[in-house]
Formats: sequence, structure tokens, C-alpha cells
Amino acid sequence: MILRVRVEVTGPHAIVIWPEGDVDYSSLDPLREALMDARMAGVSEIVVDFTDVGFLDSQGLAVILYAHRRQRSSGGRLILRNLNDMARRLLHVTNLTTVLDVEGGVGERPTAAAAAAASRATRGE
Amino acid sequence: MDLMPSADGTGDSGDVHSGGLRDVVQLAIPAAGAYLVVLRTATASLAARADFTLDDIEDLRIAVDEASALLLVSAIPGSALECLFTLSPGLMRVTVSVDSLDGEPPSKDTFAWTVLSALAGEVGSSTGPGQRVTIELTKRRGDFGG
Repeated sequence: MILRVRVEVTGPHAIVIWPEGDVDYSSLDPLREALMDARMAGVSEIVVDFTDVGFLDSQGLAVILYAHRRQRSSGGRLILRNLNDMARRLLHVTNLTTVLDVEGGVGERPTAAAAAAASRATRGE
Repeated sequence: MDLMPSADGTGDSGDVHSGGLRDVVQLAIPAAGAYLVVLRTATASLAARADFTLDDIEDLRIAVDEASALLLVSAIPGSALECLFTLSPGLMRVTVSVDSLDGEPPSKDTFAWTVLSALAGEVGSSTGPGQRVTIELTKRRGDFGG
């Protein structure tokens, strides 16, 4: 699946990267290149927004983790935003919840059971 | 794509496993990353059909993707990646195999293998015949991934 990546400049040293599609073994390059370009341009704050990401695997996570380490080593930050349940689940499985910066926190490990309970509570059951 | 559902859960070919019948689905796709999405979709569909929970389905979808990506790294270009799904009551076994360039099993010291092991209940790899490399994973309904 082709991954499209949009980049929005939000400040003198800040950008938001918007991947659109599935981030997997076959589609890493656009994201890797966007992160590398940001690094080369000296961007200190990189936000990766997952609103339009349907799937993330360990290969995609490794690219993000690498960029996170590079940012940290140069005094910058990489922040993950709008992670879906699937991506947050992957962070829990890999024990990266305390390593990567997630806007609003990563929260508890999302489960279908918890989602169903929340839904029942909303309905007043 | 070669989709060959084998409804061996009926008639003379029916296999009994854990007190229930077993269905086997075989899927062959080009050994190229662009087709991983097909495998993920098939995995989720089969797991849903087998009444796995949403958590299990998500775990399986990621696990099969990880296993396949591990094999694609050394797959012979132009060959096929074959995936065999065996569905039994409360259990799904997935076997992914390719003809590889080096015939070596995937390294277990990788991030991908860690994720795979965490999400599937049981994971193993094997080699042969020839340059064939196989990863097999088993997921039971209600397994806690991670």
C-alpha cells in the first residue's frame, strides 16, 4: 500500500508530519525520508500525527524510534499525536510507552473488552 | 493471488482437533511488501469468522504481518509467499513460508521477532526442504498478547 506523507511547517523549528495509509515493511521510505529531511533541516520539534494511519508494525515503529533517538541526542523532541488503539497497543506490547513521547499520554493498554464496557456505561447499562 | 479454501471440515476429509472440526485456508501472494495488506485483511477476516475477540484479531493481524515481513527480507525475488491458516475451535495456526536466498531462519534477536512473540501465543521457525524458510504461529482465543 502506498503511504503518502504530508508535512506542515508549524513554526521556525517545528513541523507536523502526517502519514496517510498503512506504515509497514513496504511503505517505510516516505516516512523515513520526511523524518530525515526534518533532521537535516535542523527541526527541533517533530510531531507525527497518526490520524490517517490505519496500520503500524514494528518496522514503522523502528523508524519512529530511530528518529526519536536522533532528536533526543540533538536536544530536540519527537511527539506522537492521535495514535489509534492499534498503535497504542503496539507501544504497550513493545514496552515503549515510557520511551516515546505521546501527546496526551499513551494511557492504558486498549482492549476490546474495555471498549465494550465503556460503551455499556455510556448507554447506562 | 491464489485463494484455495479447503473445507476439509466436512465429509471424509474432516479433521478432528480439540473435539471440533478444522478448516484450512491456503493463500499465496507475490513475495513483495505491497501484498502484505492482502494478508492482513485475510487474517482479520478469518479470525473474525472463527469468533476471535477484537483484541485477538488485532494481535493476529500484526503477528502475521511481522512474520511475513521477516521472511520477505530474504525471499527470492519473483517467488511466492505462502500462508496456511488452520482454524480449529478456539485456535488458529498460521504457517508462513517462502523460498529464501540464504535458507537461514529469521533472527530471533530482532525487534520484529519480539513483537511477533509477544502477540502470538506460540511462535517457531524451521527451514527446508531446500531454501524453504517457515514461521509458524499459534493463537488461542483469549490469549493475552504481551
